[in-house]
Amino acid sequence: MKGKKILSIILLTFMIPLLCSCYDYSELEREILIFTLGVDKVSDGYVVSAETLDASDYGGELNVKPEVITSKGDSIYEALSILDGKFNNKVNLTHCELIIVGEKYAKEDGIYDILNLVYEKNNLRFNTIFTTTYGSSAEEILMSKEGHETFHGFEILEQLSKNKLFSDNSRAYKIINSIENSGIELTLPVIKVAKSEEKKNFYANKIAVFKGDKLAGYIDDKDVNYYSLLMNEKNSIQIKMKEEDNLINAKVSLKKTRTSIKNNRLNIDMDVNAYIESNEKKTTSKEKLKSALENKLETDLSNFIEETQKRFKLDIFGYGYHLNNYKEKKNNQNWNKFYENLNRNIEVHVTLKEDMEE
Amino acid sequence: MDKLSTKEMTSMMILYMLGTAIMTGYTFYTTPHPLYIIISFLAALIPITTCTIIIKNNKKNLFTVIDDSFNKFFSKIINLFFVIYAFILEIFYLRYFIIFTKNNILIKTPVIITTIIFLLLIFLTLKRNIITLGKLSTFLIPINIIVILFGILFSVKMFDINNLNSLLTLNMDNIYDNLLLSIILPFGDIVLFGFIINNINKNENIKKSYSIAFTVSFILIMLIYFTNIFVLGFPLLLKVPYPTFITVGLSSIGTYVTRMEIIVAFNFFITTLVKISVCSYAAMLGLKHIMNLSNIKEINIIYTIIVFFTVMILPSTINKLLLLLFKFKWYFLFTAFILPILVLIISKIKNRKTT
Repeated sequence: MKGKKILSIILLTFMIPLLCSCYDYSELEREILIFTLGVDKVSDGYVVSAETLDASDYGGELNVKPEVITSKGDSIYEALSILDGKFNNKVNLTHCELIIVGEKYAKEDGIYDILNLVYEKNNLRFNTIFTTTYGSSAEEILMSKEGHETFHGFEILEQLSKNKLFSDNSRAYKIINSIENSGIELTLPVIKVAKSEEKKNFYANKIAVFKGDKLAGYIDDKDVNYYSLLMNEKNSIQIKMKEEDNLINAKVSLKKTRTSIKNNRLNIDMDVNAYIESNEKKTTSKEKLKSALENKLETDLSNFIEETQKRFKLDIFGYGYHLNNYKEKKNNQNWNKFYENLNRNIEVHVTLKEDMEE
Repeated sequence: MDKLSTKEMTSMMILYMLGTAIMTGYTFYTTPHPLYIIISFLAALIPITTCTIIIKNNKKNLFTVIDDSFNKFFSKIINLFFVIYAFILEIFYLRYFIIFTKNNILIKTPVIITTIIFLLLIFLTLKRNIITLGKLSTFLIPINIIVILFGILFSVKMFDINNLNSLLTLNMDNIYDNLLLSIILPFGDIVLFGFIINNINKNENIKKSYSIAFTVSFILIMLIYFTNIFVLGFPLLLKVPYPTFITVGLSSIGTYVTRMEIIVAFNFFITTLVKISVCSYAAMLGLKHIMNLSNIKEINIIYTIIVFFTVMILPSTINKLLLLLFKFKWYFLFTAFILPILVLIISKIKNRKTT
C-alpha cells in the first residue's frame, strides 16, 4: 500500500509540469504574428518585410491596424533572424498565409530557400500560398499606400480568389512537387501595384512561369484567360468577339484533354466547348458566327501554346506529367524537349443560345 | 492467470500492427511504392504462420516451447535473442514517438518528462499483466478506426488523382540501401505476439485473431498510404517524416475547423502505447523465463529504468535514429524470421521423438 501511494505521488508530481506546461509560456498578444511575408533581393543583401498586427490601447480603446516590419541581412535566413532578434525572439511565422517573393529574388536566387522554411519546426506551414511580383518589390507592395487600414495580405488573397488565379497549385506543398517532378513546370500568380490614382491597391491578374525554382517570365495578359481555361482552373471563361460589327459574348469551357505519344511526338487532343450567349445585332448568319468563333478560339489557343513552346520552352500545363505511358516516361526524362515538339489538335464545338437559333 | 478474449487480442493485434504506420503509411519511414507494403505484409505471414503452427502443436507460448525443445543453455540463448529483439524495438518506437512529440506537439516540454510519463503509463498498463492493455485496446479500436476514416474523409476534397502518375516514374532501385531488408522487416515484429498469445482464452481462435488483424491493418495502412499520396504526392511524401500528420493538418472543414492533425497524434499515441507495451511485456516474460522468476513484477521496475536510460542516449533526430535502426537489420531478420522457423523444426523433431 505504501509503495502504491509513493508511486502515485511521483506520478502526480511529474504530471504537473506536463499538464500545465506553463514554465516557459508566452501570451498570444506578446507574440509577433506574421500574416504576410515579403522577400526581396537588393544590391547589398536581402530584405524581409512582414505584415503584422499593431494593437495599441488608447485610453481603454483598442486600436488594431496593420504594421509592416522589415530587416536586412546577407541571406534570407539572416534577415529573418535579425527580424526575430529585433522583437526578442517573438516573431511567429506559423500563421503566415501568404509569401510574396520579389521579382529580382525569384529570378536570380529561386524560391527554394524560402520553401525550405516549411521543413523547420515552428515555421511556415505546408499550405502557405506563394506569389511573386511584377515591376515592383515585395516590400513596395506591402508598404504601398501607407496608413492603410486593411491588411494587404488579405486583400491580395481576396483578389486572387476572385480572379480564380489562385489554386492549390500555389500552396507550398504543391510547389515542392511541381519543382521536383519532371513533365510539369511551376506557375505562380503575380501581384502588381496599382497606379496611385486608382481605387485598387493591387492587381492580381498575371501569371509567372518558373524554370525549376527560378522565375523565367510572365504569360502575356491577353493569354491569362486561356491559361486558366487550359489548366481547367475555371469551369468556363467569357470571351468577347467582334464579327461584322456584331459584338458576340461566348462562354468557353474545356471538355477534355487527351495526351498520347505518336511517332515519338507528344500529341494533345483538346475538345473545347463554346456557347454563344448573346449577339448584339443578329444580322450575321448563325453559321458565320459559329465558324468565326471556332476560328478565333482555335487560333488563339494554338498561338498561346506555341508561344509557351517557343518563348519559355517549358511544359507549364503538365502534359508530360499527366501522360499515362510508363515506357515513354521511363525513357524520356527531359519533357521540356518533348514539349517543344508538341503536336496539338484543337477541336472547338460551338453552340448557340436557343432564342438565337431563328 | 487472467486470460484475454479473442476480441481483445484481435484489437490489440490491429493496433500493434498499425504502430508507426498510422503516421507514415508504412513503418518508421514511408515507402515510394505500394508494392513495398504488400510484400512486407506477405513477408509477415512467415512469422505468423510459424507461430500459429508452434502454438497449435504445443498449446504453449513460444518461450515455453523453446524451453522444452532445446537444452537449458540453448533455450536461454534463444530466449535472450527474442528479449533483446523486443527491447530494441521498444526503445526505438519510444524514441520515435518522443521525437515526434518534441517536434510537433510538446515543443517546449523537455523530452525527459515525456519519456517518464510514457514509461509510467506503460508500467501501470502492464500492472495486471496484459489484461488492462487488452481491455484498453477493445475500447480504443473503434475510436482509432473512426479517426482514420474521418482523416480520409476530410482530405477527400484535396485529393489529386494525378499524384498517382508519379508512381509510374519512381525509380525503385536506389531509394533505400538494402531494399530487400527494408521490405521484409517492417511487419515482422508480429512474431512477438507468439510469446504472449497463450493469454488468449481458446487456442483454436489464434488463427482467427491473426487473420482479422492482418486483413484489417492491411486495409487501414493501404488507405492511409493512398490518402497521403493523393494529398501530398511525390516527392514531398518521401521528404517529410510524418506524412499523415501533414495530410490531415492540410485538410479543414470549411474555414472553421482547421489544424486537425492533433486527432492523428492521438491515434499515434494509442498505437505506440500498445506497441511498446507488447514489446515490454514480451521482453519481461522472456526475462522471467531466463531468470526463473515467479512473476514479471519482480523485474518490471528495473526493466523500465533500463529502458528509460537507453532511450535517453538514443539519437534525437529521426534520420540518425533510422541509421542506427538499420544497423540491427540482420539481427531483426534472424530473430523475426529464421529463429521461429528453427524453433518450429526442432519442436517438431522433439515431438516426433516423444511420440
